[in-house]
Amino acid sequence: MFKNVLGLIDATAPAEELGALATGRCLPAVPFGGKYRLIDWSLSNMANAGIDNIAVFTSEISRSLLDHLGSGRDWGLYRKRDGLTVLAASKDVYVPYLLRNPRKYVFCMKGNVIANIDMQKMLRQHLQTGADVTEIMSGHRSLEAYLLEKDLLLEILDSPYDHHSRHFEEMIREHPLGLNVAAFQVEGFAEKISTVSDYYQTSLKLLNPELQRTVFSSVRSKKRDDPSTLYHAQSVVRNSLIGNGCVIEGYVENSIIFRGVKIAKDAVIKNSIVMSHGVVGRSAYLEHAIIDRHAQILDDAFLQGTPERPLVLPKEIIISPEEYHHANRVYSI
Amino acid sequence: MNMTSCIAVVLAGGEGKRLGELTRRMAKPAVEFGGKLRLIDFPLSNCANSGIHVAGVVTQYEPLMLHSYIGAGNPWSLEVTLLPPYVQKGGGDWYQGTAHAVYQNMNFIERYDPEYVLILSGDHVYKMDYAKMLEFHKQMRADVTVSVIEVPWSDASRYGIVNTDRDHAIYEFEEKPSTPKNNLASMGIYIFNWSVLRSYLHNDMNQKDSSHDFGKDILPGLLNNGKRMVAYPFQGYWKDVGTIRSLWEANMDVLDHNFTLHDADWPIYSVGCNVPPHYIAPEAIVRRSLIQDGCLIYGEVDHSVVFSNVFVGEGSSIQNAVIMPGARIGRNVTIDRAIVLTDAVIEDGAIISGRDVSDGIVLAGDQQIGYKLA
Repeated sequence: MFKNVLGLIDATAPAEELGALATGRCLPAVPFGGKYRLIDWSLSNMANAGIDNIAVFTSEISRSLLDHLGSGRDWGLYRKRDGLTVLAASKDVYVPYLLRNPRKYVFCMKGNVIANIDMQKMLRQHLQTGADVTEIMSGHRSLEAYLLEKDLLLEILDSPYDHHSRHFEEMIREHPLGLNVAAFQVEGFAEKISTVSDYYQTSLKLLNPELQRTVFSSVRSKKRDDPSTLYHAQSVVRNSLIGNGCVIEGYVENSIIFRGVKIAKDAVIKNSIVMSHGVVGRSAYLEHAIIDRHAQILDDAFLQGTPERPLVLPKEIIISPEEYHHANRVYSI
Repeated sequence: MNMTSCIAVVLAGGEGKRLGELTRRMAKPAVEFGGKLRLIDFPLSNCANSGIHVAGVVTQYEPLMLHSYIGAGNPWSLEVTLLPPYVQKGGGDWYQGTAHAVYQNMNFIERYDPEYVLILSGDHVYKMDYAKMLEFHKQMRADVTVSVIEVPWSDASRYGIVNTDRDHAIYEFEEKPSTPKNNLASMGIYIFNWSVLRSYLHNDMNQKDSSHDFGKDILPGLLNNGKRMVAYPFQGYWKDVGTIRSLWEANMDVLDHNFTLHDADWPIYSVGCNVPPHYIAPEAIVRRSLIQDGCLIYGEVDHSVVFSNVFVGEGSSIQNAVIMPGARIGRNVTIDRAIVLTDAVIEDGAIISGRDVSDGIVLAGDQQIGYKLA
């Protein structure tokens, strides 16, 4: 059945509301859940449903996204025919691509949804209702993911709107002929990550092992070669999700620690998210903070946000007790 | 250094009888190590990190797991050819010994027309730059170079000992000598000039009484004929994990910082699997341990290596143990000095201890091998 469906992940959606987490990367490439990137759920949902042709549209060459996707092998999308394609989101590129693609239906997602979507069921419903567009909903919230015929998509894209400044969902809603849009309710946990608050709250929800079972049950990601995480004699870790390749000597509570993070003796990390390859020095203190990749929190540094407004620190930042260094500039604290 | 003139042949056909249940369904090089690896990852990763691009992997005993694991060698960025025994016009043979296995695959080696052939074992735990050994081999203008490591004198009689003069030239091999003259043990790692090895493999096949083994037949034969053989002194951690106890010890060595897997300059590659990060519950205690992705830890884990997808229930205490992938440890279980087998289910309240068994380590998870129930 899915031989007739093209998966389309629009990675061009703006991500300003993710603040520092979106600098230098597009929304679907934002790291999430201790080892993943947001796009992993969209890709896995499609690949698990048997969609073996997925195109990712990017507005700029996103190194982190390309590096993550590779050949698509980790999602079973490395094929001689079809498989995974990354396209520049320019009309000259994707319109001919879509015209040439023989598949009748298109699944469009933005690559920022954390959910297990039964796409087979959704396609069946779409065919039964005869709707122009089927929209994935979680309760009353739209997950901004759509199923429609490719020809209709091309027609929408060909409309006189300047769609570089508009979102696809607006174009559907404001279609001049008025489209028949049906809702498909997704079952179970479903979150759309658009803001820092979404990101922080949804991340911390993963500290529930029951929820982990659902959220992680079928998601695939790029395979890595980190060794297992090493705990030292002094380490104390409670209620936390820990990626591979970490070396932990300090205290970690209610936190998500990504791959390859080093946490020194007497460091304290609470209610925080530390992304890959971060280094947290001796007696450093982090609470309600989101630390992007490759950050160095030096000895004795103190960082504290609030549950409502977690501190967000960009990647490759260096923080000492007195000052912080970022992008070749030095700021005092 | 240009390493294209050197290809590797990894001997991975061994059964590993002394590993008991661990090798019931897989060859010894497929046995898991250090939380996420298999033993074969060490020679293959060492090859990749040394700049070797081509490897043949000789298999025989229970090859399914190894074959599906290694495939074409992508995870190690190697071009791997799997070399199981085969039939040809006029019949075929099981591999009679390590030299016979390589002899049977001379056609594989000839395809690459190498100058040097590196012979490796598939079941040792170590990190080694073979490029340095090859450089040494060339400098010494040797026909064959044998990698050696200093072992404690008290253990020397358990190894193949290599006696050398001051310039590293080998003048004698002694297999498990009762009174060793030296404490340099052969690591089973050899670099041969291919032209020399080729002719000696041919000669060896004509010897009716030969066991067709590198250590027993090929190397002594070369020595008797006055070929130039040198010993390359390797420095670093190396362990042949042939027994349950030595496998356990090597895992503990990682916990005790005698050997590190957290080495960005010398990564050990493996076939990854798609499992989520591990979760440590509020009441759990984890210390001095390696924990792999996919675990759920509710109890206490101290000085242990825990592989992927292991569940450790509340009130359980695990010490000095290696827990293989997928094992499920119930509540209030006590485990000390044990290796728990893959997918084992340990019932609530079980007590498993290796303290009373002869070599101090118990294998658990199989009814035949048994553990004491409280």
